[in-house]
Amino acid sequence: MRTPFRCLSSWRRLALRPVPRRLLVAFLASAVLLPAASFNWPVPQPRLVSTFADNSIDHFQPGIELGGRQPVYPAAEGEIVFTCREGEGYSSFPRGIGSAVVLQHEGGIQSVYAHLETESMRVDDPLVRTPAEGDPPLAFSGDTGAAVGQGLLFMLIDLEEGEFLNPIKHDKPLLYPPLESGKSNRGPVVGRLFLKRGGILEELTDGSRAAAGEGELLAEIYALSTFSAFLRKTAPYRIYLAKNGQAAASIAFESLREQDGRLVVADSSLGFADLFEDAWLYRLGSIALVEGKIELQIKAESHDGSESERIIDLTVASE
Amino acid sequence: MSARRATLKRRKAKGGVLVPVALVVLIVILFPVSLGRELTARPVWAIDLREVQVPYLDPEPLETVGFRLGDRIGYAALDGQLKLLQRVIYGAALSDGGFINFSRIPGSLVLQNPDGELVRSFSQCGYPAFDESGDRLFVFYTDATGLKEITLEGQELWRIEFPSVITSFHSNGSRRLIGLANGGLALIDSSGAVLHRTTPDGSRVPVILGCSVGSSGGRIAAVSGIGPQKAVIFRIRGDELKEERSIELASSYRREVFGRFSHDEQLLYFEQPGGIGVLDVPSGGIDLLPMEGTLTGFCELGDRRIVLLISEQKGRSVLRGYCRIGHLLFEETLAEGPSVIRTLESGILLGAGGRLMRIDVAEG
Repeated sequence: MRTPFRCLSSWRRLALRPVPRRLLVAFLASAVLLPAASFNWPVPQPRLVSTFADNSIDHFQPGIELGGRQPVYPAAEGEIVFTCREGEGYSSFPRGIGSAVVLQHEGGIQSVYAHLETESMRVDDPLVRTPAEGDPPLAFSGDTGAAVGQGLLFMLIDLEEGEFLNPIKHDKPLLYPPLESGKSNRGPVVGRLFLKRGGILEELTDGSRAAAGEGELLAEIYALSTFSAFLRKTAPYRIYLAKNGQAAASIAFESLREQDGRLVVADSSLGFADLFEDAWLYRLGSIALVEGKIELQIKAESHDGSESERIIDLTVASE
Repeated sequence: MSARRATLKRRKAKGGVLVPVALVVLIVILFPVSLGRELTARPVWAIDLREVQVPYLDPEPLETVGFRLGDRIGYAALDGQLKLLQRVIYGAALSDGGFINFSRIPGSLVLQNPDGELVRSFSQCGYPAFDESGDRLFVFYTDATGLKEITLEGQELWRIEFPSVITSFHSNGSRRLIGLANGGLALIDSSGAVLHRTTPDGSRVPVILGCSVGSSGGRIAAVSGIGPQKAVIFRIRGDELKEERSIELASSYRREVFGRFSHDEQLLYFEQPGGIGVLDVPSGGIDLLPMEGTLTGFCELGDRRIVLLISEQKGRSVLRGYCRIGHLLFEETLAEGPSVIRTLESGILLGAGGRLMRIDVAEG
C-alpha cells in the first residue's frame, strides 16, 4: 500500500507505540505555518513532564523535558554541529545527556536534543531542514543517559547573549503552537509559606500572628504535570510577591544566563542556591515585619498561562 | 725489472688495506661500542578474567592498578593477582586508589577501595570521573551544562556552569580545560577560578570537539570548528593567552575527538580520518600515525618516545606501536572482545580477549 510516510514506515516498526498519523500530519503542517522567528515542537505530541529552570537537585535544568517515546524532529532548519552516542566513540567525561544532537540555527541559536534512542539516530547528513511530510526524524526520544523514563530533554541556547532560553515562555513562546491554557499543567499551586529567622522555619497562615522583625520569606510553589504515570512537580513560569499591595519581588524564568561561573535567572541574577531553599521551596527575599496588619499576596503563573494566588493576612506584634 | 716493481707495488697496496681493516675489526671485538639502545617487551604475567571465579584477597596491601575492560572494572596487583572484578552498573569512575560504580540516575555516589570495601558514600546527583592522576574527583551535571570538583570526603570544592553544553574535558595537574558546543574554551585552576576564556576563530561554525591541557599547564589545545576544522594550540604566559599554532585539518568531525599533548608538550596527538595526527608544536609540522577504524585505546610511553594505539574496525581490534615520529614498530591483531591499554611505571597493562597482561618494557 502506498503511504505518504514511506520513510517513516520503517521507524514505525521500531516504535513501541506508533504516533497516530493525524497527529504527525498536524505536527508537520505546523512546521509549514511556523512564524519566522519561532521553532516548532521537536516531537508530534509535546507532553511536558518538566519545565524550564526546574530544580535538578543542585542546579537549574536549563531545558524542558517532553515525555514518551516519539520521533524527534529538528525544531527548525539548521546544521548538526555535535553528536554523541551513548557507549560509542571517544568520550572524555561521562555524559548524562546520553545520546544527543546539537543543531545550529540561523540567528545564533543552538538547539539540543538529549536522551535520544541511540540505534534510531540518523545524523549522517549534517544539514537538516524544517521537517516536511516524509522527512525522517533525527531519532526517537529514548532513555539514554540520566533519563527518568522515556523522553526528550530539549534546550535552546542563544549564542549571542550567552544564555539558555525558555522555549515555553508564557507571553512570548518560542515553540509553535503555544501550550493551550491549562492543558499541560495542574496548577500552579501556591502552597505553604514560611518565614525563616535564625535558621528556624515558622509557617505563616492566614490570620496568624507573627513577631515583628526581619526574616526571609519562603514559598512552596509548583505546578503538576498532567502527563506522567505519576504526577510530577514542575517549576512555575513567574512568581510575584506583594506586601500591602506593593510589589516586593518578581521572578520570571525567561532565560538562564551565565554570571561569574553560575547560571542565574536573567531578570533577577538569582542563582540556584539563592532561589531554592530545598526541593520546592523558593526564597522570595527578605521581608521586614512591622507591628500592625500586613497583607502578603503571592501569585504564581505557569507556562500555559494558568495562574493562582494566595493572600495571607498577618498580625504582627512586638516580641 | 719494471714488472717486478709493479708486483711489489700491488703487494704493498693489498697489505695497506687489510691491516687497517683487521685493526678496526680487532678493536670492535675487543672494545665493543653500543650503536644504540633497543627496546625489549617482556610479558610478566597474564590473567584470564573469564576463568577467575574468586578474586584473590591478600591481607597485605599490594600496589594495584585499576582497569576497565568492556562492562567490567577491576584491580590487579602488580604481581599478577586479581584483587577485584566487578560488573559496571551504568558507568564507573576509576582510579588506582578506588572507584565509584554508579547507576543511571545516581542519587548518591559510593566510593570503594580496590578490595571492594566501602570507603565513603556522598549525596551527589551527577556523573563522576577521576582525573588521570586519580587524586581529583569531578562530578558532571547530567545535562552537561556544568561540573564540580569534590574531595574524596565528598566536600564540594567548587562548581562552574556554562551557557552551553560541555563537549570535551581534560584535567592535568592543577589545570582543567572545558570545551563547549558554543565554541568556547575555559581554562580553570584548582580552585575553580576561570584563568582564561577563548573561542578559537576562523571557522564557519565554532564548536569545540576535543581539548587537552599540557602537563606544565603552559599550553592548551583544541580541535575546533567546522568549515574548516582546526587544531589550535595556545601558549599561556602569565595572564596572556596567545595562539601558538593553528593548523587547518582535512576532517569535519561533528562528535568528540581524541586530543592529547605528549608528556613533554612538544607534540599534540589528535584523531584524524585514517589515523592519529601528530602536530609537532615547535615546527608546526604534521604527521599521521595510520590506523583503521575507531580509536579505542591510546597510551604514550613518554620517556621511550613510543605511542601505542588500539583501533577497532568491524569487531577486529589491532594494537599498533609507533615511534612518535611516525614509524610503525609493530602491529598485532588482538583477540576478539573489548580491549584496554594503559601505562604502568614499568611498561603497560594490556587487556584483550578476556585476558589481562602486564608487559614490561625495558631498554637494553
